[in-house]
Amino acid sequence: MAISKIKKIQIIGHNSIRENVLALLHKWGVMEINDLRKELTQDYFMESRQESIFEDRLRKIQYLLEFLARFREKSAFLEGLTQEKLVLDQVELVNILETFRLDEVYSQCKNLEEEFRELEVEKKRLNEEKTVLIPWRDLLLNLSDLVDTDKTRVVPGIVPVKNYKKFSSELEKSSSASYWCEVRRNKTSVYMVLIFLKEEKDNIIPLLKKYEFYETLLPQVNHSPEEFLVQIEREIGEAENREKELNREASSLLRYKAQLMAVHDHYYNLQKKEKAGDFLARTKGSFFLSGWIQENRVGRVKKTLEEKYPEIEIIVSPPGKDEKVPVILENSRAIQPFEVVTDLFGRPVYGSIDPTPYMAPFFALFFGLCITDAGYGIVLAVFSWLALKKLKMGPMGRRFFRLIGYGGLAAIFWGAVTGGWFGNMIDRLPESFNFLKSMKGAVVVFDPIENSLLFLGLAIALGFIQVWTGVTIRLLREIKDKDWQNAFFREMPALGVQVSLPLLIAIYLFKVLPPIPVLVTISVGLFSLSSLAIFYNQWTTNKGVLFKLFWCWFGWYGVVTGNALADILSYLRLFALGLTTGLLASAINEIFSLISEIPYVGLLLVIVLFVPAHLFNIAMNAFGGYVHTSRLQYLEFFMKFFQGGGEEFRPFAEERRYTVIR
Amino acid sequence: MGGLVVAIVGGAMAVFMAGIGSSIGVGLAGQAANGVLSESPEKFGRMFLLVALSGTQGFYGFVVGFLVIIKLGLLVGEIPVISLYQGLQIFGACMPIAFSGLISAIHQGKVCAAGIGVAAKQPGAEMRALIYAALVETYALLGLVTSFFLLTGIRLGS
Repeated sequence: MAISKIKKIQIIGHNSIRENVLALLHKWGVMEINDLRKELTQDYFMESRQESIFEDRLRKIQYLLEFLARFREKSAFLEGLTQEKLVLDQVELVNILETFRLDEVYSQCKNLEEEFRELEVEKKRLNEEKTVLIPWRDLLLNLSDLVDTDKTRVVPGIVPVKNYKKFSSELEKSSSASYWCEVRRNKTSVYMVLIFLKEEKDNIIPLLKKYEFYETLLPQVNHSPEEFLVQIEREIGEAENREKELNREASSLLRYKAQLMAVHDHYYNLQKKEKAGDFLARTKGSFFLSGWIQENRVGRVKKTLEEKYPEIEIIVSPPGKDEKVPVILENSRAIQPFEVVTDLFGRPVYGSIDPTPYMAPFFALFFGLCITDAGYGIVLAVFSWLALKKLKMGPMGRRFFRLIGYGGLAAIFWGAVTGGWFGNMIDRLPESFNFLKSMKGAVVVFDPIENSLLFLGLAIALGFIQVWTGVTIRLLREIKDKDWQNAFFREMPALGVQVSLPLLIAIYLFKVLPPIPVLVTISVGLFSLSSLAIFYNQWTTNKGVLFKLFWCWFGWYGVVTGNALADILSYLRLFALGLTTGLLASAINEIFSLISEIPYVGLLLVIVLFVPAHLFNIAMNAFGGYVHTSRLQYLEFFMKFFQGGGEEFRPFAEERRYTVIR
Repeated sequence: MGGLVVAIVGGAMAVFMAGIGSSIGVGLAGQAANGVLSESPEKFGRMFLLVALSGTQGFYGFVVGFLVIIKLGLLVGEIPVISLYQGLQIFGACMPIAFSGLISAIHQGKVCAAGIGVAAKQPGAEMRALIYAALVETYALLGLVTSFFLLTGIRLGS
């Protein structure tokens, strides 16, 4: 129920058994192997092995999987969230390894991609040609006829509308035998064909520049623009058809997806073994391996290896003081789902406290409080149960859904207590459902909207308990470590202020507690004593009178505003989120009851949209609840005692990204 | 009748200002996510939460707007007489969520967009980015709580 005890393990053996030992360790998956290249001199590492063949294969497989991902049939959304895995047995795997032709599929895919790219270029070219030609479609000549003759230039081109009139009149003036015709005109430009005598070009060309006439290069084909457009259109159609065909071909490659996933995991593990081999130090005859292992696994590993290889030398020692020991969290099955939350923040450092078991009840309760609706809780619980049942996923995925399940149960509890069942749905039901109303009434403790102050108080009270727990965990730890200065002068005063300040506020500011002498004495006494302890702590740990004074004040200010006020007030968010869920649910009910009054259509709309609306509300609030509850754990709770910086224990083991072997 | 108008304007502002904030916020994050998506479409599900987060302020605004509608009895049709002062009170009560929603959603959107940039490069960073973004939302929640209590505290009717 905490951070697992880890031992350092070092193995020395003859080179002849190196591969076998590695294979065994890989199979057991209980050891993290250290890269000795970081610790020892170069001399212990023999010639670098030749280029790995696995790397190339893995690269190809990765490429194929990514390529195929574009053509997958299922919605990417669900897949991204759950990352379902493929289940195989050993026989199927061997079968795939024997029959699957990676290089063939790879070149097939490469060809496909190449052709896709070519088609893309072709389509782009055709479309550009089309855009150029469209304005000229009224021209009835063959495009190949628009060529210069011995004496004349034939120029199709564009001139701005605003210049056209002047341009034509000047053309008339400055040339003896020019001809031009307007092919088409739009808002800005006139498309025209101009024919003039070559000998007059010195007169004409300056005019073209002056009036912004731009020559258009039209394709030289034996068709009129209209005919040619039809042809282009046909070619685009062909390209698109070909593309569809390619798409189908690519989709048909999806049939290899399972094989690809299987071979990926296979080669990935082979490569992993190969890489781990590089971590070992070697001499001519022997190898040296160093790593970390859970204490309770040491015995079996040592015994089995020594029995199998009598000449092997295994040294087990406790981790050194400055060594960075990887961290394994060890919790009971019930608590495990909450490791998801801890892991997201980062592992605690080796030898410190695993926050998971302490955080677990708070997380579930807070998550539920953000929803505070029994109906929604049921939906969440059933949803996570179904996901666990139906979807194949890795251990992290399972933990996540179990976590959501816990949250759902907590939401049912809070919902029942506050009378929230899909918002105010039960109250809206007709009289014949009165039994539901009385059942609901039987378990209700308070109404969160009418009695919102009570609800707010509840959120604050829960926050108070959690912050208090956090400081207490640290206090107990310090007592265990005999760190008396911090225990008595940092943690205890913090707890003292945290208790006495709210009491004082309740008595004098809000006047919700009577000023009974005992209570006043206790709270004033506790507050003063705690403050003195804080002053003492800061005075003794800082140097220089000015600094001492400053830190006395600042340390005290920090405890009062931080621990006692800001941290606890942060739990207000639970109240706000819980209230929002219920109010939105009621709003949905309200809106749909209005809709249902519309004749005929109304009923249809209700049937189609009512459930999705509530589902949307559940999803949104569960998401908000998850994020905000996490934040409370990290900022308000972990900060009190958590020592981060631990690294996750990464065993040298089989690692399967896409498949599970039965 | 002036009071009723002022009150309705207040409720409307709570909804549309928070809504504007959320639109901008989700818009910012959505653009960033689309950029990532063009390269790795399989990240859609993971980006989704970061894009959606700034959408909540709009709903907080809607909740307050809804409370105003209930308070004024607009759905039931028995609208109480509301003096100008009462109208102004309701208007004022709507302002905390209107403004905190508007501004926090925009900034949250920026944090989410940056988080999407991180998540694009480091798989698994989405959830951490989400927690940063949630820090911004705190102030919208405080606005919501304040608006809620102000609204429930106002007495209407004779």
